[in-house]
Amino acid sequence: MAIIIIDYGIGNLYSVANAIKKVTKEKVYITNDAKKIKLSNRIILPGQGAIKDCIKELKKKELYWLLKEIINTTNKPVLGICIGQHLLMESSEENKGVFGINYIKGIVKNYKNKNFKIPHTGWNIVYKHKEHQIWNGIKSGSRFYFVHSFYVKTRFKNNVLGVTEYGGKCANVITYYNSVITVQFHPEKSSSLGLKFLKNFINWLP
Amino acid sequence: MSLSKRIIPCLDIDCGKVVKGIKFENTRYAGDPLKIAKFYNEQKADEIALLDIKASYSGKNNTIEVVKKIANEIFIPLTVGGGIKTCKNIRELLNAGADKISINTAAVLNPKIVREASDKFGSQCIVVAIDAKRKTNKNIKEDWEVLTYGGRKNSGISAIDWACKMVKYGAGELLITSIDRDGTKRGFDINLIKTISQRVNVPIIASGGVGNLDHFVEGIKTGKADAVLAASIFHFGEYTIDKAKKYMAKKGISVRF
Repeated sequence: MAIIIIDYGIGNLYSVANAIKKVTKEKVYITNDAKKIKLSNRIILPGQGAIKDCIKELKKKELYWLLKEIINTTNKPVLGICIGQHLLMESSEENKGVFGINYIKGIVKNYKNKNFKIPHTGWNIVYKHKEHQIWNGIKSGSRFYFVHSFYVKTRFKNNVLGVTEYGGKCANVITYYNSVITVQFHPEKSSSLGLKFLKNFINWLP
Repeated sequence: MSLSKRIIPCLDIDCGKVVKGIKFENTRYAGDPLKIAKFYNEQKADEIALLDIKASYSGKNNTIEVVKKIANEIFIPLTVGGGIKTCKNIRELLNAGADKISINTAAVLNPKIVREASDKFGSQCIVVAIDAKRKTNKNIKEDWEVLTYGGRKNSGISAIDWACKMVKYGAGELLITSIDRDGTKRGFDINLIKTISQRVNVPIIASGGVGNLDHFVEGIKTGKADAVLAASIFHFGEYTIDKAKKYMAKKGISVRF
């Protein structure tokens, strides 16, 4: 039993692992070993860079279907961070359009606003959209660290836990469905509130 | 305007120790990068930059150890620069816990490294640092030249063209330092920052010359910078980050407290 950070060769997994270790005494592994992933009690799906490459690597390492199976057939809590959030949606406009794992009904969209700097980089305000354990001890209107060029818009409002305004758009930066939570910002880089967010995820029993 | 403007204190590292910034209010922070980074984190620094000033990066370099120590305890973005030449160097630093890698001279010597690195690790972690020096020829329109090797060598490249090229190659952010202003406390070279900020669509970090808090305000309001970087103004204890943020907030700039 452990917390698994899925290693598919992309993303800064060490930052995530460092932060998780700070808030739990449970074992934390960075791995792509299917057996370990199946046996874990929590999964973190990070991601950085281009979504097409992320999907390609997940498929190459046979993690794509494994993840899909785990999410659809178990109650294991999963946290998707940044591109990890995007991967769990239906599809993304990035890289001329790609399909995602399609667990949460939502589209990853292009900001398409020349008056704003892209990537959206820095500390922005997250407003609470809906009560959830992930918000424990965190005030609506707190700042978290973002760095991304595409944003999530879900089909259904009841999947949304938090929103952030940028580029004239209201992005769904925390979303959830059953035992899956997704987040656009980087809790592992958001100082004490980010650690609180991760701790809430680890204490969460869906 | 909810995205806050960032303040980035920069630690100049030599042989694993912070140099230049030895004079804190009390000396217990002197030289130890972890203690100094923690101190800045408590003051709500938005990011921390580590610069290996000898640019003598090698696999065995102390910088990796410094990055590891800081990344194990401080959970804000960490940018590391100084002598980084290859994707292998970048991979090692990212694995040690760095979030962004700043490339300067290596990009001028081999621009493809920027494309390769941003493809491999994502644009979000590739910062291109540009050291720019104002051209003195009065007959030509205002222009700046890129310098390399810590401002020691001329490259003949226009800083504005270079900034645009680096963004096309995949830089996710640009760190612009005015060599003319660095260490002078006369403020940023505002026209340099502004010209580049208006030409590219990625965030700009302004650096070089900060001597007082109005310089931060000017860099952001007039220079259109997205973040400001400074070393000595914080190291020597003249101002705290908190004080700087309060001042900026008073001037109508969105900051994180």
